[in-house]
Amino acid sequence: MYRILLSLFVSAFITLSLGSGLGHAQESQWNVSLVEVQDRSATTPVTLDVHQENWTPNPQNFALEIDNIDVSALVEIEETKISYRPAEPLNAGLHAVRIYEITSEGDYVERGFWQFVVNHTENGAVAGNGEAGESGSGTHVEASMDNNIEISQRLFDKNITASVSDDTSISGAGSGNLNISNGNWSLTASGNYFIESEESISVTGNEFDLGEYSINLQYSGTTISSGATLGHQDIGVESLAMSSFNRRGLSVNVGGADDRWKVTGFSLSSDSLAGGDDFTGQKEDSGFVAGGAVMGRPIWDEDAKIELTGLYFTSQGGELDFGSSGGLVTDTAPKGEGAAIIADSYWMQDRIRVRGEYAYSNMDLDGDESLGKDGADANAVDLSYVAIQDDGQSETPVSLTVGGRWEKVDTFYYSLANQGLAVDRNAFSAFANMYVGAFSLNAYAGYETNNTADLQDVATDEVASAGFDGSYTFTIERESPEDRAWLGTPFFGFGASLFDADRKDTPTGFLGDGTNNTTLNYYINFGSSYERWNWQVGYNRREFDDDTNVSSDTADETIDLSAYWTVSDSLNLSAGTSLNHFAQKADGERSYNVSGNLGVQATLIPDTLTTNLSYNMNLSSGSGDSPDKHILSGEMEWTFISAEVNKPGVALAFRGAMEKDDGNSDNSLDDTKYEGFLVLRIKAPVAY
Amino acid sequence: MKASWSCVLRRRLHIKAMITFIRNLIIALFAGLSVIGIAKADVTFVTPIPSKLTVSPTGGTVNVTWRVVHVITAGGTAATQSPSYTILINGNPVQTVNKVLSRTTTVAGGVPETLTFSEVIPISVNIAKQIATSGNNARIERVFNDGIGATGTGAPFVIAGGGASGALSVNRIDLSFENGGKTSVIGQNAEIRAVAEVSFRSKGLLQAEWRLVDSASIRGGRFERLLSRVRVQLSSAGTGKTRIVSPNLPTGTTGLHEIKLVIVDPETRFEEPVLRYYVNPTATPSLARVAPLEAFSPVAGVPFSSATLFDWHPVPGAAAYQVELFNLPGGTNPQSSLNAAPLIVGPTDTDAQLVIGKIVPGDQTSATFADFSEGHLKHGFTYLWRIRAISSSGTVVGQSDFRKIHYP
Repeated sequence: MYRILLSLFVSAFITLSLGSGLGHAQESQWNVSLVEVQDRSATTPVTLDVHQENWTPNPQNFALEIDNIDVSALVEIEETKISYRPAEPLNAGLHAVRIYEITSEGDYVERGFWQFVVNHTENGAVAGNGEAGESGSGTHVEASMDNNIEISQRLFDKNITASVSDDTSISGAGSGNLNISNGNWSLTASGNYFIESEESISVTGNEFDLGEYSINLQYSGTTISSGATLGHQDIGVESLAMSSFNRRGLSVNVGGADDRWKVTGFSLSSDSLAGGDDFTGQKEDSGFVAGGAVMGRPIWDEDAKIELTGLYFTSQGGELDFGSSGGLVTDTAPKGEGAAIIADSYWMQDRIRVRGEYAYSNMDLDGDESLGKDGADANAVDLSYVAIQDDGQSETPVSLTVGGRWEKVDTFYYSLANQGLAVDRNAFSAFANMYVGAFSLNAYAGYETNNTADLQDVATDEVASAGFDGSYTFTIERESPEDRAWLGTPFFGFGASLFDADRKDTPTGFLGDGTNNTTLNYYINFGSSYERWNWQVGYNRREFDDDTNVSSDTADETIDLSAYWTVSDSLNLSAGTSLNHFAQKADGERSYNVSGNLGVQATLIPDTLTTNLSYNMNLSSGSGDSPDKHILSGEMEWTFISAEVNKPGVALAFRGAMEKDDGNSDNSLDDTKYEGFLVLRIKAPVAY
Repeated sequence: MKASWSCVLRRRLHIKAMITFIRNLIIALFAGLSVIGIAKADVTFVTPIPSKLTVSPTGGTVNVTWRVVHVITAGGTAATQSPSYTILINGNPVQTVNKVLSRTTTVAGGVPETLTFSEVIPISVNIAKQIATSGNNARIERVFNDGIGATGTGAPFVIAGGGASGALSVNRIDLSFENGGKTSVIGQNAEIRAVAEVSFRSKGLLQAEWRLVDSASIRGGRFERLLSRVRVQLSSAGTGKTRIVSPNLPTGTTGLHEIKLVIVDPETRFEEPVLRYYVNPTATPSLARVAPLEAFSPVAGVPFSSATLFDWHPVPGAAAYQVELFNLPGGTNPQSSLNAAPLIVGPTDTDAQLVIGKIVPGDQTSATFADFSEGHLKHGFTYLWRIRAISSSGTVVGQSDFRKIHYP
């Protein structure tokens, strides 16, 4: 009997639930449709027909979104039609439209979603979109270059030992872009250059020189996509063998138009390059990393994605590395081979990620073959899981992602395509990232040991670490903009980390020191932003304790305060200060530092007279006291002719700087230096 | 007769020996006087600090301070020096490097004087590997001589490996701008930061300073402005790498600027790399077809919310402005891409994926995002944002640089 009653109760409940749900759905459903357009071009208006009874054409009632871009502000309403003419031509291909109802409570409720295809770009190219592509007949060319040069004349100076010999010098720089497209082909080029009459302060060491550049030729067919790149580039493989490897060189690639496979061949310089001395990056002095990469995606759908990548290269170090210093201590450059196999995958609609990697290096580290080549491995496995997924519907969004990583890099592993890689470590780490509304928290823990090569005379240490970072932004419900406006939008952040290092294994007869130390860092910051200004304050403390007493315990703390105020469109103010205290406990050394800056930027006569001033101070005391330093620099510019496209502009500026040193108790260190320059500035933007 | 000749000969030999003895005695007396009475010197101690140095099995540097104590009994001037150091493995010299440490001092008689010499000694990968695989018993030996004949020897141990013991050492600095480039031509008031990837070994406090020389003094006094002081506690079992990001670099004044990260402690064997960037005059009344667009807010550090105001200078010719948020390059946002390199914002452009945007008419110079746009973002992620000005013909006439914003 009770089962029958229960069944009836459940049935009634389900029926009521469904009924009310359907009723709600019917009640909330808008009768809106996308006006279909055959052979849609990039600028064809996107039009929706609203057939809703009693619908009043009021822009306050709805919002329109195209490709996640809120275009509501440019929508035209005509009786029952909502129309948007793309302000910028849409790319060929698939696009998404969403319309939202703005309820009387101010909430946004999605009322419709459509997709449409743009077949023709402005130059007549036909989108692929799975259909047979054709080449358009027109060629679209767009080029622009911003050129600037200034001639400066020293007017006066005091106590200055000039870093350049001539009182008159010329300096300048520019950057340019070129885009040419014709049907399925496109060529893009970009780069910058520098002019500096004084070689000693030039960017690359030459008076007139190229900086960095990239030229890319791309073919996008219906089944095949291919390209070739000359100049600075990153071939896009991220692994232990190659990471953030942005170098000058040449690469070619070919792949499927559906991105399911790609083969890349490359020959890049091993060193960072700037300047035109080695334009292609293929000179011997620049070193090389040359090889190929193959990527395939055997499974790539919504539920499961698998990507396999293979990488192999030969390499040799160069003699110059622009912007880098240090590295291996060798007389000659290291050389050898590197390789990696990477398997990456997403499962359960991207909620689970599993990634594994094996990298190998076979390098002659000192480059002179006295050591011979060392084969060494590096392995990594990553696992992450989105335990709680934000569905985007909850009033308070909640998400939790957990994961871990194992990484073992051999003591003698070395790759010229990832020179800064931390080696000689066997590390396990775990993380959890979560947010609840505007509160976010990231926590992590790790454990690592060294001596991965198992050298019997080398001690093995272990470092355990743990930490977290979090932030929260307050949401203040306001009845009007003036309501508690003084609060602005407050936010705060916090975090802490702990590292504990100990000796794990000491070989017999080991002569080195023991290991037993602890490092603790923690910080907190908070601030608030307002319509025209914001402020932030932060506190950071770092402590180090060495229980072996081999090195001194230390404590270091810093307080930062900064503010930025856009007073008006013609006046900006910025200010910041930092107080630092450092103590070395063993010998009682203490130092105190206060630094500060103040910036003013103002337009005195619109489009004609502008000025900016910058003041910087650095005061220190305690152990290792150094003279206090005050630096003031600024510029006032008068624009005679405003530059416009293809029409040069001319401006004259006075520029000056002053440095005052104060030795405090030691007057011999007191010093005041200043200098001033007259600067003639020519700006020449060109575009086609 | 024979006997007398032999007696004479013996007598002469005796006399000759006696003369030699007396002559030697006189020389010895003079020598003794010169040593005892005129100037007697003694290098009494040579103490290396620390007494044990550690280095990675793949080489690196060790920082050593030699504390030399010497005495000149009668006082005077002495040049204390060491012409070279020798690395010994298991007692056998494997490398001698000529590198003179020298100091000339005048001291009072009989008063011990302490001299300190600090140096950074590179240990090659070859030597380090030999140390690591040959019993881990090596020393660096320096012989100090005060120029008067006295010497002293110091020889700290060099240990390969040792993980988190030993002093912190910095092996490499790779400096770049935040977009991965090593050069930059940037618009006035645009946002740019430098990034230093610092490779290190062991543990300790890294003390560094971001220093900038701006265009007002770069061709004169080169006034180094302290942008920020960096204090980072580092710890690693093997080698480690840390990423140090500069504060926003000044771009208010046009012209050439120079930025570097100066490592204050520990001492390095190399000069810090330097990058230079050029600030072009701003887009005040629109300079170029794709002119730099100056955005005021939000400034760095302000988190994203639907209340966040995006504010910018007007660009003549703009019929509309589009505020755009992009996914940060792969890696930082966990699922933004597989295997994509973290560098997608190249030195000159970007292929970043647009996440949300908002377009407003050209007479508007500020915007906030609606709640439904915010719904497309993921909490805890960092995004890139920029603003573009679009003309009535649909071309982009102004564009701000990329900046980062965090969505808490």
